Amino acid sequence: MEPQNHQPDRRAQDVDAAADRRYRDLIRSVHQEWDALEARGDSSVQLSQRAISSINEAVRADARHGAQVTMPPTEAGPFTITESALRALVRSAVDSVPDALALRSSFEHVEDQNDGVRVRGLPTRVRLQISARLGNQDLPGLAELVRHAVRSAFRSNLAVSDLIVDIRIEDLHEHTD
Amino acid sequence: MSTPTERTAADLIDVVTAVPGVRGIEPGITSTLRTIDARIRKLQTRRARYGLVLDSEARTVTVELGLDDSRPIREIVADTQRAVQTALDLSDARPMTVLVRVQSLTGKESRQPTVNR
Amino acid sequence: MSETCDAGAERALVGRADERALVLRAQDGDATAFAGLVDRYQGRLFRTAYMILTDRQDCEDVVQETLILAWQRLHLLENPAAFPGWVSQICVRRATDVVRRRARQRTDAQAPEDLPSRGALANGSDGADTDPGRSTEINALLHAVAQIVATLDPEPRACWVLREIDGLSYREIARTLSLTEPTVRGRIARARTQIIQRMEGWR
Repeated sequence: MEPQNHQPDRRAQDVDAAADRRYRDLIRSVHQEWDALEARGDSSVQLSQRAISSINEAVRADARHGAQVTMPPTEAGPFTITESALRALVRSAVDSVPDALALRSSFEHVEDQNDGVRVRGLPTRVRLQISARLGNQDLPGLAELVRHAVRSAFRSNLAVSDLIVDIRIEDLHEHTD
Repeated sequence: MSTPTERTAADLIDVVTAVPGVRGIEPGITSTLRTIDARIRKLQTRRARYGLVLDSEARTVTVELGLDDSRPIREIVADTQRAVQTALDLSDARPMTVLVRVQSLTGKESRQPTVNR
Repeated sequence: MSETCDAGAERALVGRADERALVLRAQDGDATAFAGLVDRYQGRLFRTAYMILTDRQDCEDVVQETLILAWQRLHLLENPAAFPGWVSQICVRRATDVVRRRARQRTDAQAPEDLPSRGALANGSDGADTDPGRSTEINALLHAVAQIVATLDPEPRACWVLREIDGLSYREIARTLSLTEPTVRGRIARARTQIIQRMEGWR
């Protein structure tokens, strides 16, 4: 049984050079064996294809979804929603307004750290880029309708009431039915 | 002493996907990591599959979902949470926390701009 | 531009990119660039994990976790050039956690008669236990050495693996394991001595 100690092992000083050489040879052999197996693509020294795919799928899904955003809990428990799902909600709300088309949106959040893994806090502000139908005579009025639609969607879907909505009309489009 | 209801993650997935507005389980990084961890630790108290993790020791269920836009998000989420709690918790006094992670939201496609401006 | 065209162009770019570029793009959110890092690092991490864990399934799980955690935490990596040591750290810590937990569950350290015989090194037969669920065998030499390393306590084992398998400097190891350099040197020296003694026990 190996003694548990904090002193340098006396025998360490007596280990002869030959034993040390054999040790070095062993380590070198380990690396040579391993490199050879890896160079041959031997499956025993790497992850299975299934494991690699599983990693890449998880990463791809996460990249697509973006960070998790904390939401006010329901009566039955807590929930989060991804940044990409939030943007889908915004697009749906903007598109529901006649003459408006959603382009891009970005959010500001209350900061919310969790374990060093990025989790966003409640959204406080959304910046919208939209397109308006060519021929719409009242762009400020259109913007106000869009603002109302987005705030309303956040209130009814997520119980988020204080969302600040900034709108930039970037584009004018022809709208055909 | 009451024992936790013996429910598998697979049973709960069926319960969850039956809720109107739930498009399906959508595995994310959270459940992927917890699934691997449960396997390494050979945890008896945690049953995990991609998309759903049941931790009877921590009294939590984490489920990752895709939703559609048929109903308000909060209603779908609350119904899901209640359905899971109902499925799990008939005999046990301690409630389970059901954390829902909404991964995606799909609905009717938005209008697209025409080519001529 | 079709999605297939985009993905193909991106993959071609990744093939040429140096590693720092891959890390930067991955930090930007490029999942294809990260897949390039997975490709380059999974074998290296597997090797490290194996010398700590010796069980193939455990290694697969730990390396999977390591790479997924690396993706999640990539935004915390300030210097892209530090990626190799940084990802190795995640792997070693996780593998060492697993070892520690298993050690607590067992009452005794591995007894000397459980060590592989020199015969295992000589004729390439695997003297250690075989799990019927294990689909492929690691090379007998590697397995035999890993079994010796497995007799070390978790902390010296981690130091030794980072030095002899990963080739990190003492300073890098100290930083990786949050230890002082003298502590690292001492542990590695003792680990080497123990390994040499067990090797010499075969003669």
